[in-house]
Amino acid sequence: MNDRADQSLDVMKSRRVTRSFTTQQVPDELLMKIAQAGRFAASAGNLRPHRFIITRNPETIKQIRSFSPGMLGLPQAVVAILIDHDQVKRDWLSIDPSMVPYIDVGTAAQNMLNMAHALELGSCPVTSFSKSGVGRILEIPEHLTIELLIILGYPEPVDRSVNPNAPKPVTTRDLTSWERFGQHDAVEVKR
Amino acid sequence: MPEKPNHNDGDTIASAGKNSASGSVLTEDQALEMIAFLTTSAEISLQEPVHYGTLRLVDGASRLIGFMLENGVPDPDGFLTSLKADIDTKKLWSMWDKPGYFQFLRETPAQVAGEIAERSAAMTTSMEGDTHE
Repeated sequence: MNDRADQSLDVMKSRRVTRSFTTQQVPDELLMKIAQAGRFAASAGNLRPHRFIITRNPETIKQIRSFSPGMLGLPQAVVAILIDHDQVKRDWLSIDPSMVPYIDVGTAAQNMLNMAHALELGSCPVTSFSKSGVGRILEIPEHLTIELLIILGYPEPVDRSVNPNAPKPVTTRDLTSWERFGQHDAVEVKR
Repeated sequence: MPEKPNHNDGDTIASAGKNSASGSVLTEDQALEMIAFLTTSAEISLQEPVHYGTLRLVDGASRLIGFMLENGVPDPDGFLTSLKADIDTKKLWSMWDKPGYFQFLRETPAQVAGEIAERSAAMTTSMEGDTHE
């Protein structure tokens, strides 16, 4: 593996959800880097049906938090990831409703979370919010829906010692099969 | 035309009951924040895992205590401060230690009941002290 791969894996492995933030503001340049990370995420058909709204106004964040029970801490910035349903209808002509735009929200979100961590920011994806409530605060037009919020800020130090009752961590091996489902160890194959 | 009932005493939505002379429990903004939190919690409970509903309720209690303390509601024995800290720590157990979290939920109402009983007894004693013949 080269250095770039090691560095990328290190960012991914060391990222954790942050729920407590300091009052230090997040510079706009960093927020722009996070938006860029979302923009360069994989997107089906290169459609890019997502839109991002970045909020730094403390009053707006407070209002968003009122409608977001999943937002346990008080962040310094919030990135909302939206889907433009008009664009999906126009450019993604599926017969049955497609989950693809939602998968694209996920790819954008993961890029953003990793970028935030690489920038030494804490982050947490939030799905527990009222779409109608937060949509009203952010003045979202009807053809868009907010699908995910990412809260951001400089992390407050927390005790991450392992809870004795915590379940055994899932390993990569647990999740991975080779060649057929349930074969958790790599076997030699003719290639 | 009948006069519209005034449910709002200045910017105070709820008064502190027997402590009302010493200030209010919630400002109007805080009450609206709680209403937003509670109605949103009800909405999102339609699609979240069932035990998240319990998490929203205890988190709501923590937020309410936070507002009460902000507004100077008396907490002479530190019960409210300690309960809020306990909720804020143990609500997160719902994600990795469900048995511990559920046990916390089972134990908490008894602690609140004990505090209410103590406050009630203190109030009775204080009223008895005020009596004169």
